[in-house]
Amino acid sequence: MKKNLFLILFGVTIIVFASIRIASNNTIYYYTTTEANYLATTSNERIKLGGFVVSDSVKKENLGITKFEITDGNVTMQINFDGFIPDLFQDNMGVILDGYFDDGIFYSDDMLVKHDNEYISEDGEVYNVENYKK
Amino acid sequence: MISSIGIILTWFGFLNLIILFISSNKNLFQTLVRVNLLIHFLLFCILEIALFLDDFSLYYIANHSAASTPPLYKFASLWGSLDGSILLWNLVLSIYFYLYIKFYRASVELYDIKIFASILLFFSGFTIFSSSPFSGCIQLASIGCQDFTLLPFQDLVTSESGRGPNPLLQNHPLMAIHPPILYLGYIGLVLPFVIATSELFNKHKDENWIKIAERATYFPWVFLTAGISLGAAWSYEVLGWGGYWAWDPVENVSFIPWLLATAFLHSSKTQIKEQTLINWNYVLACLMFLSVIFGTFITRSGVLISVHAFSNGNIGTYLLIGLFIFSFLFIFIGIRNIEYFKTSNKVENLLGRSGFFVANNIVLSASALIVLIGTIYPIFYESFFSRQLTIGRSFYDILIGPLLLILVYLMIFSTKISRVNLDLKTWLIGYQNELNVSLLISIILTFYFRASYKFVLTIFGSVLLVIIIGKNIVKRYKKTKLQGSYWTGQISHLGIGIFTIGLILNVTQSFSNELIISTGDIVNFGDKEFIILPPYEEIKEEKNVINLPIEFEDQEKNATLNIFKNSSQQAISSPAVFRSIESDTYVTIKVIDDDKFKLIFRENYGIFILWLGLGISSASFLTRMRK
Repeated sequence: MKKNLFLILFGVTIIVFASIRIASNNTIYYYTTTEANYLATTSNERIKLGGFVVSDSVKKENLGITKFEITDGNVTMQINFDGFIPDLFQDNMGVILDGYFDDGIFYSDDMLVKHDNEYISEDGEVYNVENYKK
Repeated sequence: MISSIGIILTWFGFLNLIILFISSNKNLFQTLVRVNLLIHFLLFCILEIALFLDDFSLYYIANHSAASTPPLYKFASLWGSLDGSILLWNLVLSIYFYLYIKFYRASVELYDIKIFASILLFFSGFTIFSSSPFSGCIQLASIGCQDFTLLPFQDLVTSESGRGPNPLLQNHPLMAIHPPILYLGYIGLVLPFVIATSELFNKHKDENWIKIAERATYFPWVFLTAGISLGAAWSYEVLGWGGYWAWDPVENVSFIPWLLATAFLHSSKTQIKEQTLINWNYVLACLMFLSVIFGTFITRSGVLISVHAFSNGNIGTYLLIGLFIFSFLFIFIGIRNIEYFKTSNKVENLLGRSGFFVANNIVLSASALIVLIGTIYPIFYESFFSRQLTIGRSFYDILIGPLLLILVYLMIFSTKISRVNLDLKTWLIGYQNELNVSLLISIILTFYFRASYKFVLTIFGSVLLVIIIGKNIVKRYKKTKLQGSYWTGQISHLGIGIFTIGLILNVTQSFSNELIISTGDIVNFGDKEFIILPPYEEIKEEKNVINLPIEFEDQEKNATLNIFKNSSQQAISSPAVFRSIESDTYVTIKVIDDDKFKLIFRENYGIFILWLGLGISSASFLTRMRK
């Protein structure tokens, strides 16, 4: 009985350890534009980038490529989006984009529109869409 | 009016459950359980009636249905969002409560009734104290309703039109079938929990509890298999949900109980036949239900980002309390029974039934643990390092893939499993022909698909499995008088074998391409030729549909883009799927720009084989009916 319990605990430990090792090598991080700032010119890693769409920055180009800027209140970034544009997408809307940086521009093909209008940055400051508009 | 009736009836239901919980009258409980089922059935009907009458004075209906919603989706709106789906949850629990006292009751004590009643009390408590689908609207929003009341007979306001259901939920008729089927499986796992805890709580336990628990797990398992398969079929038809399986948290938490239930269906056999693994069976029987509550907590509390956008609310805390209560019950009863667990026999023959089933249980519960870690890793990471992340698919591919392969190889031996050790040498000689044939088939397929070693290993194992079990079924099904449950196992294994062939074809062979086309173009994709016809727009009451007809051989199918009115969500693309046994061609509209279209063509191999396998596994219950 005790031997079995020991074996089970041993097995569980191995699985937990291996999974966490593998999990930490297969993660896709969420960044705010401030956090991603240093990545923009240094990395091509695939990440998720969150922020608010800057007013009047949305430009539609040929064949569904949409260019716009997003911000978290501190840093603004240029987005080149090639994919489905959700109906809800509009100025000041919070979005999470899946993609990668190339030459300081973020290329994305997948967009998640945040349902709430509040965005909390890492330092705990709340950016409200309505307030942010000004 | 409907709001008040619903709320008062909910209170009656709650009162009825309290009486059931307190009363120690051994003749009364049958009536009370019937009354409970009746009340929950009535609540379900009342909300359906309100949905069809477009009663927008109800908060839930104003926010999750609309006058223009088609009837099928109005019907399904009942489980389209949290409050309503708890109503369905409670109805399913009540159905199982009734089935329990009718078919699965062994004890003479009333502990089982009390445990079951407390579980139901817990879940219906939520609709009374926190949020109810019957709560009335007291303050309007621009569309729909802003604020609600949980009390009856208030002055309610009625909004003019409803918000309508989430577009993703009114895009496919499976919305009406998949959630109830899945619930019947998911919630049904309450039965083994109640049976195991109440029987072990009794001073004089019925040694048959494991037999009853096994029987009671089987039908929920069938529904869970079918429910998960239907969900996969649905997400295959709707773009953006990652094909048929995306390792999304909500998918994961339906998969964990499935893995545990599958493990239990095997390990319980060893206790029934050889009196082994009693303690482990108790743990599994309880973990199934605890993983159901845990899964609901994970997905409904808003601690995770998921494509299944569920509303947040205070249900998270509520479920967490429940999880603690029921876990405490499980641990408490487990500790009380340490002496009883010591009566369990040792597993001696590692190549006999017990040995194989132990191996099977190790693989299945390890898989469950890995899926669990993958699901909760982001939560822990975020709380320690305050940084959000998701886990990529390759995590599961690396860890779960090999485990599934081990299972396939274990299943090959399932035809001849018995108490005594299997003699590998005679086995190899006995199945020489089958081994040669599947080796030949896998060599041919490997050359045909120019595939890797993973493909070879998987295809060899699964072809061998299909051949051996197929032959076993054809040769022995009519002749022998083996139990129905033996054949259930065999047919499930056959289904899994076929499923694995489809899966490995799909994972390794599929390819896709993004093409920009104009109407009238002829598109060559793979070795197939498609003609793109002029698009046309349909204007329906609840949505605008842009259809792009595509011709392939003699078939014409539409790739469509659905733009829902009256709602604040994205346009949804439905693919044109040209099916064949070997592979599907799957065409979706990505972007429309004047007369140009950007289309995604995807050649999906093995999809038909995959569904066939899942269908066979789900249908294995038919043999269970054979006495």
